[in-house]
Parts: sequence; C-alpha cells; structure tokens
Amino acid sequence: MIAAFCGGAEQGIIYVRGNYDLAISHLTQIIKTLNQAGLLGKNILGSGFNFNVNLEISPGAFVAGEETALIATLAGERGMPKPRPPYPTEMRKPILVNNCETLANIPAILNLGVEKYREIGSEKSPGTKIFSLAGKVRQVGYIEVPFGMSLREIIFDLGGGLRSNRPFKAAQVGGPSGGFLAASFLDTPMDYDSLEALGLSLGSGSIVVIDDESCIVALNRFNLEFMSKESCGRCIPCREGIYRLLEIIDSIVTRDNLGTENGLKRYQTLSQLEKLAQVIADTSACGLGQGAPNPVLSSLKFFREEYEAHIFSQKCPAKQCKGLLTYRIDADLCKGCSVCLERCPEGAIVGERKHSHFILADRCTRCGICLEFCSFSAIIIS
Amino acid sequence: MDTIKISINDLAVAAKKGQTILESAKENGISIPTLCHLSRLAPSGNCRICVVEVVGKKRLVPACAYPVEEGMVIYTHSERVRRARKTVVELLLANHPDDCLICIRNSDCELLKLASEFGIRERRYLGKKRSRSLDLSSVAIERDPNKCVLCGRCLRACIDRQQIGAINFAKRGFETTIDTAFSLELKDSECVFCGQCVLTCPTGALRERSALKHVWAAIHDPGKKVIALVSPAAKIDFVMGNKSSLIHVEGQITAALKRLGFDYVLDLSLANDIYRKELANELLKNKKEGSGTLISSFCPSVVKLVEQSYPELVANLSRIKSPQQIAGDLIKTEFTRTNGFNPKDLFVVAIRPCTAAKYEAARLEMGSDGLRDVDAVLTTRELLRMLQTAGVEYERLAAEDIANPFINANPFLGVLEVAGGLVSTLGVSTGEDLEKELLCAKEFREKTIKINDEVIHCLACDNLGKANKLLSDKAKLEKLDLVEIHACPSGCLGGGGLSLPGIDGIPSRIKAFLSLCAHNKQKVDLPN
Repeated sequence: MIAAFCGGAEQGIIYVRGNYDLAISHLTQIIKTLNQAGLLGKNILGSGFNFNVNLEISPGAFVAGEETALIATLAGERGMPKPRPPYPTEMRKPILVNNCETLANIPAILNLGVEKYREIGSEKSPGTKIFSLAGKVRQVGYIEVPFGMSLREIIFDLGGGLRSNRPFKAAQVGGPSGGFLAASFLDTPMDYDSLEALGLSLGSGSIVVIDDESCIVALNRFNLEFMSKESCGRCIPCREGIYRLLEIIDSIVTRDNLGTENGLKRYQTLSQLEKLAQVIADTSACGLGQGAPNPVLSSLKFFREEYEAHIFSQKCPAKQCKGLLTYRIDADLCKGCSVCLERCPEGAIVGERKHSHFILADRCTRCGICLEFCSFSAIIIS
Repeated sequence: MDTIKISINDLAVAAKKGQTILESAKENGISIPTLCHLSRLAPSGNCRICVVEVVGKKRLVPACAYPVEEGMVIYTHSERVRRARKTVVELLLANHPDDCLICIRNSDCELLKLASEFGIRERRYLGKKRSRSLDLSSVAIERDPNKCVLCGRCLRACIDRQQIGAINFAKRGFETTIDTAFSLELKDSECVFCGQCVLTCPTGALRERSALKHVWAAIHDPGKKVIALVSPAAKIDFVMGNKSSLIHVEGQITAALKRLGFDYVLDLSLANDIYRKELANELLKNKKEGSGTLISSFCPSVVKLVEQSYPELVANLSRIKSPQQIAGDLIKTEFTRTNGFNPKDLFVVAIRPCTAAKYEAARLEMGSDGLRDVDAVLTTRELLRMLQTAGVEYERLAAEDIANPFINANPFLGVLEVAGGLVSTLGVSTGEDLEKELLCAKEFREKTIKINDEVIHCLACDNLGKANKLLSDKAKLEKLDLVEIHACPSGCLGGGGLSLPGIDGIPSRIKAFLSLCAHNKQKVDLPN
C-alpha cells in the first residue's frame, strides 16, 4: 500500500500460483478483512487515497514469474516474456512488479529509519533475507536471517547440520537456476556481492544441501529437465539449447560402448557442455534461459572431476547414475535364498537354491529391487 | 528528432533517439544478421541471431529490439557475438530436417543463408529432432511444423496485422510449436487463407498447396483445352525486378504461357468490369430497398472472415461472385458456346498472387453440373517454378498480344486488385484522378460518390486488422452504403501468393499499376 501510495496506483494485484491453496485462502481472507476495516477501497482512513487489491491466480508456469510474462498472463495471453526495454515501469501505463518479500521490507525501513535498518545485514546488502532450507539438512523450512551470515552458520547452526551425518558436499543456492557452492566456500557470507563475485546469485533464496551420496551430474540432469520443460519456447538458445545440454548430460550418465573413433568425441563432451552453457546464458531473452545454465557452469567449476569420472572412467562416484552402475552378487555372501531372483522384474538374476546367484549385466536395469530385498548384503554395486 | 552519439565497432556515429541498434547500424553500413526480424512487423527479440555486445551490459542484447542510448558502445561482430550467433544457428539446424535438397525453399531459405553466412560446416549438436505431422488439410496453405524455426513472424502477421489469430505458440520447452487452436486442421480453423504468413515464413514451414501437378496433367492431356486466366496483379508481380515495362512483360507472360502449353491466355479485365457494373446495380437496389451496408465480395478471405466471425453481416455481403469466378463461369458457358467446345474439355487455371483464391475456387457453390468455374489456381510463385521446370525464360521471349475474346482493356484493368480501387472507380468517368484516389494506405479511405444521382457513402480498407475494426464498429457501418475490403495490405498487390519476398515492394507495385492505367487511358470504358 505504501508502494501504491508513492507510485500513485489505485489498483494492486497479488499474484499467487494456483496450487498454493493455503496462501490463496489466507490472502482472500486478509483482503476481505482489510476491505471491511476500511484499510482498502475508497478514501482509505479519510485520506482521499483509493486503493484496491485483487488476488490473481497464476496458471502455474515457472516462466510466469518473469515480470513481462506475468503481465501477459494477467492480460489473458500466453505466459511468454516480451523484450525489455521497455521495462514495465517505463511503459505508457507503468506497472510496478515486486516480490512480496521486497515490499515487506518497506514498513521495516520506515519504522526503523534508514540508518537503523542499514545496521542489519552487510554493508552492501542491508536488511534480512528469507531463505528456504531444503535437501539433506536436518531442519528444513524457512529462515529469516540478516544478510551476510555465512553458509556454514545457516546450514550447521540454524539447520542443525546434515540429516544423514555424511560429509557436506555442496549447496545449491537460488533455486533450479542457482549455482553450486562447494564445501570450501562454506564461509561465504550470504549476500548479493559475495555471491556475485563467485558468479552466483541468491535468486529465489532457496538453499538445497547435498551430501556425498548425491551426484552433481544427476542433480544437474534433474535441473535441466525441469528447465527444459518450463522454457516458454520463445527464444532459440533456451528452447533448443537447454534440451541439448540435457542430451549431453544424458550421454554422460549412460554407458556407451564407443569405439575408438568416438574417443575424441567423448573427450570433447565437457568443453561442448561448457561452451553451449555459456552461449545460452549470454544470449537468452529472459531470466529463465539466462539462469538455467548456472548449475552446469558452477558445477563444472567446482566439481569438474566428478564429470570426468563419469565420462572417462564411466563411474558415478556417488553411485546415483544408474546408467553407469554395475550390480553383481558376491558369491561368498550369497546364501542362494532366491528372494532376489523372484523379485527381479527383468529376470536378470539366475541361480539355483542354496547356491550363489548371478546377475546378467545386459538384462539388469539397475532398479535396485534386489538390493532392497537381500538380507545378506550380497548385492554389490560398482 | 533528437540525435545521440553512440559508438559502433569503435566508430563514432550519430543515431536517432528511439532507433534500435539494428536500425542505426544499418544506417552506418553495418549489417547485422537477423531471422525473426521483419521491418513491417513489431520486433520480438525471439531468435537471438541479431545479438550484439554492449559495453556495460552483462549479457548480449538483441539489436532488433534494443533502443540506442546516449554514449552506448556497441560491438556487432566481436568474437563473443559471432560465436553466440553461430551456436544459435547450429542449435536450429540440430532440430531441422535435413531435406534441403528437396525443399521448396532451397533457393531462398533464410536459415540456409544464415548457415552459409556463419560458415557452418559440421554438425556439432546431434540429437532428437521434433517430429510432427504435416497439415495438408487445406487447399490453400500447407504447414510443415518440422521446418518451423518458431521465429514467430507468421503469427505476428496473423495476430498483430491481420487480427485473425488462426495460429499461435502452443506447448512449452522443446515441444513448443506453432499450432491452431485445439490443434485443429487448418481447413477447420479460423484461418482465412490470406497467405500473409506464407510471405513472412523464412523457411519451408508455410507454403501454398501446389496445384502444379493438376495443371501439368491437364496440359499434357490432348483432350483438354487449358485456359490461363491471368490477373493484373500477377503480371505486376512479374514486372518487379525486371527492367522492361509492364506492357512488354504482359506480352512476354502471354508468350511464355503459350509455350508452357496453355491453349488460351485470357485476363480478368472483363470480369472486373462486370463485377463493378453488377455491384453498382446491387448498390442502387440496396439503397432503394434500404437493406443496409453492402460489403464487397471479391476477396475470398473477407467472405470467410464475415461468415465465421460476423454471421450477422452475411446478408450484407454482395451476392456477386468474385471476378475470378465470373470469368471462369463465362468461359465454361459463353466461351464454350461461341467456340463450340464441350465445357467438360476445358480446364481453367487462374494465375493470381493469392492463396485464398485456391480456397475460393474449391468452394462447393463455385461450380454447377459437376463443372468447376475455375479448375485450378496458381500463385505467381508456382508459375515461376513452372517456367523454370519447362525451361521457359520469359524475359527473353518476344511479347505476344493477349488474345482476349472479351477484349476490354481500360484504365481500370486491375482496379479490383488494389485497395481503394472499387470505391475510386465506381463514380469517376476517367482514370485521371485514380492516382489521387487510390489506396487506403493509412487508415480507412472514405468517399462519397454519385451513381445515377444517388449519393453513396463508401469506405475502402485493406488488411484484415483494419477490417475487423470496421466490421465490429456497427455504428460506423450503418452510416455507410458500400464497404470495400481487401485482406492483404494494399490489396492483391500485397497478396499472399506473391513471389517471395514480394511484400516489401508494394510501393513500386502501385507505381507499376498506375503506369498501366496511364497507358490504357485512351481506351476508356465506363461500367456505369
């Protein structure tokens, strides 16, 4: 309402994604209450200032968070970004688009005064930030902390460390288009400048914690698959490029019986991945395409050897990429109970009762069911 | 206009405020490659081929959509830029069918041109290709979504200019495509077959449905008399890029068509005159009976638009067939009778810069007793291909007179194919003021004319965007007696069947048209 007053707006819109039922019901109630109390509507508190707020339900596309795409969906069009400039604030009928987190800081600044407010947080990024902690951390959820708090404090003090009690490997900061921070960067202060110096951004403020049982390559595959589906399809680098990144990663996580003639191609995979990711970041039209290669680029920076293990040794160190795993049965440990043989959906296990069983590698789909049912830990993954 | 100083490739240049980087680079002799950009459409920044480096900007910016700013330092061909452009084109090629050898656009494909400009000589990205089925449902326009590069030019023509919106983006991510609403076949969609999208398509994704096969078959059939009906706008299309005068080229086209094997070469001028005369009569009758605004019916796209979007106005459509169909009908009746032919042995081919004419000729009511008025329609693009196939170099032929049994050359020869032409010639007696009256270039052109002392309020408009605005404005419509609507910009001179990229030459087409009028001025004939 302060922003509306300053900007001279009479109409405000709160834009919520359709599947956030709780938020929608809360907001509906709040807007109703404010209207009844005369804090919204015509001539608010006798000030002569009119301001209405409507709740708009977003169709639920990732790209609809981009401001021009957001405005397009409000106009009933397809959620596709438009070229900027002109920015929405410079249009003939200017529109101010802000995150609610940004607007929520305004009362704090006014109440505390600028000087007092600047005391919170770091010098260049004053104030607080809401992070959402997720992944392998013990205490998941939302936290509001002053800018500049280190990643270590956030994960180990507030988050209570790792749930799995395994070593911390990395944190992905800023949602599916956020970059990875390796363990050596745990003391990085979480503010805009420090992250930008590392080529990363705070983005949505999400922090996904990863331990050594998570494969960076597999995680990137997951991110890219999401981004590739969410791309609006308007610009070429994002629409075609992210899909090719995904294909390259797919080629990394599957074992190929390449002859020697393809050895060079395998050698070039990483540089191709890196170059393509750079061009996508450099040329895409909106934040989705510009940000999508971030996880690839930052993980290539910090975890290059993990990619190399996949490509050259055809091994997944975290034992997550199914395409590169081999399941076998330890003949000494196997008691020949046949539980695995009966459960195997592919008929890939052969053997006689009371004698050690064997896995037919070419039939095995690495689904992991045998591992789950073996009581003697005889299934070995390598 | 305010001038600002910018630097392009270390060259200090003056640019106009509000210009895009692309425009000011062009003014200074620097050509930036583009794909999704077309000067007559609003910039979209879709393809990212025109990206340039601007000092101080973190990322590359699209030159076609980015305005110049004071003190901007721009590099249009730096290594970073060239690499980015090349990668973008390579990404397009990775998802494009490898059938250039047999593609209809292999001589003028913009993607092929870019690939060659950027020196792409290997395939760095190999992977899945989009695979969608072709839409061959309509008799006018074919769609091949596999060749589509999703530049969005067609839909800007369809939505922004024509305000039809038959096609738009559908689906997301790698699956993104351009489709009709509910993925209907084009023949069942809102498409009015104006073909403006075909004119904008940089690849072979949108093309006319070719009638060449049937025409060749008829020519080779000894029992068939094949008759070419050439529209004046098609002749003007041939004159473009040709140094000879229109009159000379007209004769050369006649000669060329004869060599192709057409038995008779006729033109549409008499049918045009009949249309105007009949329309004047209908107008007077309408006026007398007070049956409201009369909407011209010579443009099949307009007829379809009114039928599907303004059913309440169908009664206002003129009941007269379009000149193409009138001519076809006359040939199958009068011409056959006077020459003693069996109408079944005649094959009438209309040659027009139009895709909708194909749709019109195929409409159920456009024929009787199992006979079609017009058997096939060729766009000028198809005729050019036909000449190529047959090895006929029309530019080197001696001109032949058009052997028109309905000879009726007059200054209004092709006037129905130019926006404003009908309104301009209904009331005037000579071609003198045609130049002044023609074309509703800007918005609508209104005119009050007199026929038999009846005062008639007329309005002419081109392009369906304007037509939609007019047809939904019922208050305005009520005040008018006659509305002349052309689907394409400037009428058939900007038609969807022009040789590519014909639409940029509209002003010179108009000039050619007027010179033709001037030539024929001495043989004035009046329809009223």
